[in-house]
Amino acid sequence: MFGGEHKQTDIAQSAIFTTGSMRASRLYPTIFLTLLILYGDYLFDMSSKIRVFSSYIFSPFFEIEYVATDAINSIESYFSSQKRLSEEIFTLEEKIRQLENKNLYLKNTKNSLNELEEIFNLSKSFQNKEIFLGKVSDIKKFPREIISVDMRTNNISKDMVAFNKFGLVGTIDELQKNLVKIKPLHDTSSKIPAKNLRTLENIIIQGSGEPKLFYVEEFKKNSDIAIGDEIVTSGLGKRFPKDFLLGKVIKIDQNQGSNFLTVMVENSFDFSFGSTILFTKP
Amino acid sequence: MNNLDYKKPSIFNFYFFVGLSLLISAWIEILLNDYLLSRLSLPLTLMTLIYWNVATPRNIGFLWTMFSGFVLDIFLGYLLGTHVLIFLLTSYFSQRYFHRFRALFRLQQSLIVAMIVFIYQTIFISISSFFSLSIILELFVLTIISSLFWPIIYGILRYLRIKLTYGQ
Repeated sequence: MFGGEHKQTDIAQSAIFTTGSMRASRLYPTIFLTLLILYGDYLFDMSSKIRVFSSYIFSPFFEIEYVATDAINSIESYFSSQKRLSEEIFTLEEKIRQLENKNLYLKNTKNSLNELEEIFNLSKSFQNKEIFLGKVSDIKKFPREIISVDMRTNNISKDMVAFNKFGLVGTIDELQKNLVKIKPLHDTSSKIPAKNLRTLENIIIQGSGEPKLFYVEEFKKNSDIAIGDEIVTSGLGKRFPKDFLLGKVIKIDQNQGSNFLTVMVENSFDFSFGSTILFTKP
Repeated sequence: MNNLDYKKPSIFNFYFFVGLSLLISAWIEILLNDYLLSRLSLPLTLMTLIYWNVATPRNIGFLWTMFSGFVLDIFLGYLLGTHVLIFLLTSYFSQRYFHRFRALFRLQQSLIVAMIVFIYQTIFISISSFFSLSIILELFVLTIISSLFWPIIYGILRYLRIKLTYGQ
């Protein structure tokens, strides 16, 4: 009864110290090639082009359920008197779809115009400063958040800051020809001189790495701060313009055994919102 | 009784069959990914790859491994090479330790496969930086489902391999 198990145990005992003839050196070229492709894709976003191309070619394989249903329906309707009626319905549906597309296009245009109008309103606060507008061309979330903005000018400098229709959203990370890459204010490397609008106390807030969230650095326990306090840029250091809303205090943690509070600030707008970005010097 | 007409299939046929099974499992994985409404996928391709590497380590190169990895990267929306890297490392370790793996009982094999799937899914959760209770729950559920799937995949592929190698 247990003969099979004994045999299995014997095999296991002899196999436990045995390894295959596979050597790691055979793996290195393929790993190197894969890393090269991974890096290439990260830089040039090749996969999205391949995805679009392959989605056309392989769509029947991945939408097999719909393809089968369509095929059965077309065979059935071909032999029925309802064919003409269904063709008419199809034509009308196509017209409706076209109208819906047109409607969507008009809505998008209206949204773009609204966005531009709000950005122009925002630009009124930079009366004596040069402003530049750019179109968002790509938003990357991995491995870190970056927005690429197409520009028609090369007058952008690295000390400029970026706004969308809601307000201050980021700083310039990299400048390329006719392309600017922006990193968000909530990036962990961002340190923004700010002040509490209620107490006018100067503070430094730091990005948390999570969208819309910031921390206040080294805020002493005896200082005056409350949930709901509005935090705005102070303009100190001239890295960021003055009096732009950064957010509201949403959480204050008393750290046991430390002289400092952990204060969390949240803003209400999204870094990656909209299609137009405004650049100016602080 | 020995069959004197027995003809061993050419290595090309076998290699093609392995690639075909990997592509079919990738296809099913992508389809299931749409239907499961889960952020993680059931790693059928990974399990198929483990089977072939353990069953016939000498006949399996890295070409199909890379190809099936690229297919998954393209259709599941990851950076090109993410799946490939994981598959290559899995292939390497499977081929290195296939003696030990083969000697285990099916239940023990399922546990090892569950561990590999757990690590595999954890890598994808880390890449997406999306940590929540629901995704941890998904991780555990899919790991358990995968370990239950292993004997089925093992059985089907073993049956097909024997059919291909020894005919009727």
